[in-house]
Amino acid sequence: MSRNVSITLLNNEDARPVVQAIEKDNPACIINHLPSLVKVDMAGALRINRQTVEEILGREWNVQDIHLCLVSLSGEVEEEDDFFELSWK
Amino acid sequence: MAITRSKPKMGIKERYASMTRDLGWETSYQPMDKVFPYDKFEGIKIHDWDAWVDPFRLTMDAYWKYQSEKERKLYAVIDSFAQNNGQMGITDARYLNAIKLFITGVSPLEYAAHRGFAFAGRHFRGVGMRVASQMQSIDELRHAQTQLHAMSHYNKFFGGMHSSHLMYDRVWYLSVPKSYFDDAMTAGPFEFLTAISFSFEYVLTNLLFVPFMSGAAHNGDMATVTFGFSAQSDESRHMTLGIEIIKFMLEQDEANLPIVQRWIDKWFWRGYRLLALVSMMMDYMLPKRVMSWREAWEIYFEEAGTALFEDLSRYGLKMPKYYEVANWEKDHLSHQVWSTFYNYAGATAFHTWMPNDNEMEWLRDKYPDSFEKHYQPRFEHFIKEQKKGNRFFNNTLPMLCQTCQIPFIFTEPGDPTTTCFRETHYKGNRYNFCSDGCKDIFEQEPEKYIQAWLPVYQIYQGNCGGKEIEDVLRWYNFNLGEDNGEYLDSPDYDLWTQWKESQSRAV
Amino acid sequence: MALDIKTTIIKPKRHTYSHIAERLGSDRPASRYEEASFDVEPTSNFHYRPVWDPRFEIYDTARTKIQMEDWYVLTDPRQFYYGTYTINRNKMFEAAETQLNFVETRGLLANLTEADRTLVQKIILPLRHYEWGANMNNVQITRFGSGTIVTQATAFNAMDRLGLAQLICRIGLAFDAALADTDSSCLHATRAQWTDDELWQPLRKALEDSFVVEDWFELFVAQNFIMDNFVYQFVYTQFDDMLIEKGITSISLMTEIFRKYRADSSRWVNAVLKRAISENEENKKQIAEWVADWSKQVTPAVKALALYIQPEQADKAVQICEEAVQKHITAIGL
Repeated sequence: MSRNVSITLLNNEDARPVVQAIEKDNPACIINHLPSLVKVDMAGALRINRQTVEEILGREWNVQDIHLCLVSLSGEVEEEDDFFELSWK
Repeated sequence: MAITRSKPKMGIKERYASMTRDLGWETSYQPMDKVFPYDKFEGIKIHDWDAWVDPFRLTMDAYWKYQSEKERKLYAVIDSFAQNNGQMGITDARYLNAIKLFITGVSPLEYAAHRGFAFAGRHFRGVGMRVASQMQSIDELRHAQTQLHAMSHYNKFFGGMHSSHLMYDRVWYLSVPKSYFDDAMTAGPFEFLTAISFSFEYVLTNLLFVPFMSGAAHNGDMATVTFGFSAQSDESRHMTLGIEIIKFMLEQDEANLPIVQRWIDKWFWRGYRLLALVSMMMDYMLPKRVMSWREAWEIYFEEAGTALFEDLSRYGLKMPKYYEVANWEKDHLSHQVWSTFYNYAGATAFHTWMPNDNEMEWLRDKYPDSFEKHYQPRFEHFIKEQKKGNRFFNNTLPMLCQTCQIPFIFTEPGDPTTTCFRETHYKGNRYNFCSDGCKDIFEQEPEKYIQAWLPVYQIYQGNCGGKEIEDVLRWYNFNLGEDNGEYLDSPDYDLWTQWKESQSRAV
Repeated sequence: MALDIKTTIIKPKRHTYSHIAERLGSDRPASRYEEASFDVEPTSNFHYRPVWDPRFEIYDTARTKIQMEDWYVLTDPRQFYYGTYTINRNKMFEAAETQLNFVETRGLLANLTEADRTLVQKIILPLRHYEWGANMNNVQITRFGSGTIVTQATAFNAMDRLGLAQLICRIGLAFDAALADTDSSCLHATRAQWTDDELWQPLRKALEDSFVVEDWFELFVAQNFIMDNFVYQFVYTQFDDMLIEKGITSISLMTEIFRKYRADSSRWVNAVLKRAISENEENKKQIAEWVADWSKQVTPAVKALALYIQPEQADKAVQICEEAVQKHITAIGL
């Protein structure tokens, strides 16, 4: 089995559409809602697509906006205009 | 020439490269080795600086955008915390002793990191690494300053927080964090990044921040929780820098491996010894516990650290030396440290106390193999004496380890009844160590560690305000009887009791 | 009853940190700037000397010839600590971005003749390397300077310079985007201009010479006072005036931030120098010497640019520039 990657976000309005997008595009992910945090674990790789977030949000979203709610992560980061991906190589 | 706006935009990678890496150039009026005099002497071989890729491609405009929004939110909470007397919402005033330890022992490290990363941000000849280091440098300044602002309100009511920076320079146990960071700052830039970005931020940081921040959350400390989470969002960038620098060095030249391994061994042990202070905070200073030191060590080091080093083994890296000793010590560390600080409560800028019955039960539960057998009897003795009016204060000065500067309080690996003691001779002098890890570090660079400003020896030499303990404590700028001593005899305790009584009367 | 608690029992024991109260002369509430800045840098009992330069302690006032009884008198009139600084710069750069986008989306660069466009590209774009050099020098001061009040401001200034270097890149990208029929990038061409074109060699030489200056206060004078005053006055004021006279306003829109930044940072740089000069005669003499030295080094750089832009007006342009810089020199008390 491949190792887990994970991303921890603040449990707030900035993060909500991101978490929804993760859920939609990574159906196998495991989401833990804590009082102030949301931690998402996923085996292998986890991808956040800009387009999905924008569809949920109904407006433009920049991949780097993730810095507003990012708390911690594990895995190697790949940041592009259209997506943010965590994986182990 | 036709001018239209039809040309496609550059992708983020190319765009970022043109805005960072492309800014640098080979100097020719002055030789590169004179412009960058410090990035070769450590022996790290770099063939292609441009192979460094920063995974977070933040240009300054984006940096300011996100950071300013985070700052606005943070200061709104700090303001409302003060306006609403948030200090009254914490679980118990004992909790604040963790905060005292934090502002005197951790905040100054954030500041030191700010200056240390400025060094790295100027002296690597690779532009990408410099930009990443510079951003971390001002992030660290942010942390130091937001901590001063968040804790300023507590300082208005409670002792032990009023002179954090002077205390950092002078107080005996604060030479543990100070010598740790001085060690990193006086090393070359590659070792500095290995020490702070990798060993500390990547491998050990969860053992510092998660306990402090979750501890704050569990104990009603809104101000600390907020700056903690706000700072943590910077940490994810910092941690990434830590892992990237290790991979970069190892990918550039295989001759770098033994140097990097030696640094990782050293800085794992240095960092682990520093965390001894955190272990007692977790197990003894939080009125509402989050998890035990042992549990935290198992999750964040034994599991996460092992997985990390498995991943790094493809570069030939091994687990840091003496990690087994640290694993063994998880059952003992916090208890040994707390009883030491209980003994020396007269000379600390925070209060100590003995655990109550519920807490004793929690400790037995969390440490089934060690607490009841080795530590509970000692604590029961202290409690008995304290009830008779003989609260124990140790007024002698302890001998300190030449490397980590902690007194000789740790026991032999595998034997919790024998104090661990190592020594070595160098140029006709004897030097003492708390562990094999600390002895090894000294022996790698004796010329560095013989310089150590060991507080106890400095007191004996008369460099710390005078001959009597009281002179020394005044030189530390302690308000005697207020900042130091037993918690139950402290003004903190009186004030808290008064507040709680008037609150219950109001109800 | 709750009100009663507030007034009687919840009375602060002290209003600020001890060292702040000592500086303020009494225990009264302090500003965030004061609490964030005063005495944060360690001053004594360092454990080891830097292995890369054991002549000095980790922080060492002997790293400059300038002597101050107390480095914390060199306050920043803008009172920037991280929070106020970051919020301020976000606003400043957002405004610049808006102006730049306006120029781009309205296709204003299309109004330039090829000669003008080449001129602008040649004078403005290579300055991204100058800004990067200014960043390096301010980061150097941030590590080695004395007193948080000085080094936090240089840290902020260093990041300003990286931001400005990146803004010039954005201007270059705007030019590139406007040129549809070619793959060549005017932005990428700037490094070769900076390193090889005669036009830039005097400035590059002055800057590279500053990289090896050991005394951090000299570096502060050389970079933040002399080189910046000359370069900003000449390029962002005089050259810009000339473009406006020619009817070119798009460049002025895109470089407005440089004038704003300079007005802002000058207040701080001048305040620091003025206070250091008033401290004692030795400081005054030393700073005057550095001012003279570095003026001598940077004047040929300005002259080279002036000769390129308008050879017949070059002497006059340099003279105007020197006079403007002289005003700053007088303002700091020299």
